[in-house]
Amino acid sequence: MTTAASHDLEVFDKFPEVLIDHDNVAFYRGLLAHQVVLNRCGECGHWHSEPLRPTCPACWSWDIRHQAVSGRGVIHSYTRLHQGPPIDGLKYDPPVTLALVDLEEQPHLRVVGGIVNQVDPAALIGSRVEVVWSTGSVAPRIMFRLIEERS
Amino acid sequence: MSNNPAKDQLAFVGIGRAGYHRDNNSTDSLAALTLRACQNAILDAGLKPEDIDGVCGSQVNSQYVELGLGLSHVTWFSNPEILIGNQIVAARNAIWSGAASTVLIYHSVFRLPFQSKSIAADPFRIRASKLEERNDYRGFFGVGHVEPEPYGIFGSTPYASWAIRYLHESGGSREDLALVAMNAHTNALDNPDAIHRFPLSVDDYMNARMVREPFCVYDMDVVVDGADAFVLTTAERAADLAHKPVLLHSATLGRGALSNDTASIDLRHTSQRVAADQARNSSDVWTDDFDVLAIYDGFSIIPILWLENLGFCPPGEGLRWLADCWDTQSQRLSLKGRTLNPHGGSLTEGATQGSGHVREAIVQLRGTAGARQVPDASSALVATGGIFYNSQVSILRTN
Repeated sequence: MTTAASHDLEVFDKFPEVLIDHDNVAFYRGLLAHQVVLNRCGECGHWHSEPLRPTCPACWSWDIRHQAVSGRGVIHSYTRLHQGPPIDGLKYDPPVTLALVDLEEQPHLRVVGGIVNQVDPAALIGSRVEVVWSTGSVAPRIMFRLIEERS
Repeated sequence: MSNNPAKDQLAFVGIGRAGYHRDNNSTDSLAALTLRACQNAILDAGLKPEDIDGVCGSQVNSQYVELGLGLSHVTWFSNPEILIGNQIVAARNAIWSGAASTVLIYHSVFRLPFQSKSIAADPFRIRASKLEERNDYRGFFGVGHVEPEPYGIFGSTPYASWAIRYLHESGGSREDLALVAMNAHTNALDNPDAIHRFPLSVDDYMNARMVREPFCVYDMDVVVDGADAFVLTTAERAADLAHKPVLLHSATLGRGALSNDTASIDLRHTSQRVAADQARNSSDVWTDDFDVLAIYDGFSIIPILWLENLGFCPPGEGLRWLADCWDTQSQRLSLKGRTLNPHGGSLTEGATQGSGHVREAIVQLRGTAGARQVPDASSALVATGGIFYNSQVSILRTN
């Protein structure tokens, strides 16, 4: 992890809209370093994503590690936004694709991100993706690009 | 059969409504709508303020309502989260436990700038939205670990995403999905309170403005300013009051594993499943018995999954079943002879997160639904809430 935003207040500054607390600050610090940092149990190895919890829901251990995932996964589903807030100059033309991605680390370990490719929407579900990062935003956001279309 | 000791022991005796409009010149605040609906419900029941000893509502604080109505002897109060099934279950439990005898239930909605362009510049609504920001509406489970659109999936977008997944798994199309909205629009023609009172053809639907795929404007409920209120008391007390008592037969909530909407394992593991199973196990009447089907339709995908989880059709076959149930002549769904949402539902009457569905069930069972009255209606299924974390079932009937 870089030292670019090691201080909590820097993380607060980059994500003014998000309720950041001690249980999720590592995730946002990770975004600033272009890493998807999720929670993993130090005892049983179980990963969890949103909501990021201070204890392991599988074994109740409080030994929660903040660990970067590979960023690779498979699209479970998606929507294409034809309208939305004008963040980062977005025009929603073509529509903005948002996807639910099942990460390869664990079944149903899911994160949300935009899809940067313009592809036939029918090809999205089941396609393999890897994380890339948004540009132009105040803070990096999780995006994915297709690396292998569903066969 | 699970333990349901309060079965048929309580009754809805009053209903009240205010607003349900999109009047941009209205000066009705959220609180004003709430108080007016509450007054109407108490008056409808033929009761007086001193008869109300329990207060249970959604966003508007119960103490405010007590002060607004001049209540002076309240022995139980609560503000459960939306949706209305939470208030119904809480009130049921309070009366059954003896904490209160006659409970006022309310839910209200007020359009905020992020919901409607036409009121986005209203300074009062901008101010009202500050309360929402403090509550961080993006994180319904309370901690706000949800990114804002267009980077995150919350609010509407999970329903759109799961609707895409549903269409993918079932092989259905948007033409099939259109039947939910078309049915809602036909039924709304008989509802003077509905916002959308015009017929909708499949062409209208397919040509409509797309918002979040697969949802066009007609797949999403119509935001309004409005409030519904209800009075719930014991069946014994209800027998002496003005209206035919509408008995609360069963009321259930449900929440399953990974119930937040992005994380849900799949469409077979939902909170709807839990609430529906609990309802089936606590009710003497079930799918073939109901005269009235009031099933929440905040997004068109929601009632399809409800019908599957309630057992009207096998899992994954809801859309196909609806196509089989479509009556071309009447332009309505006929689910074994019953329509879906006689009042048109949230898609046309207005988006009140299910309180309109509860009201419709009560009006139908009283026999006062006017042009849309279901003949001899004596039992109603009310399924409120969405798919993932706020699923609820109420079953109402008359003697």
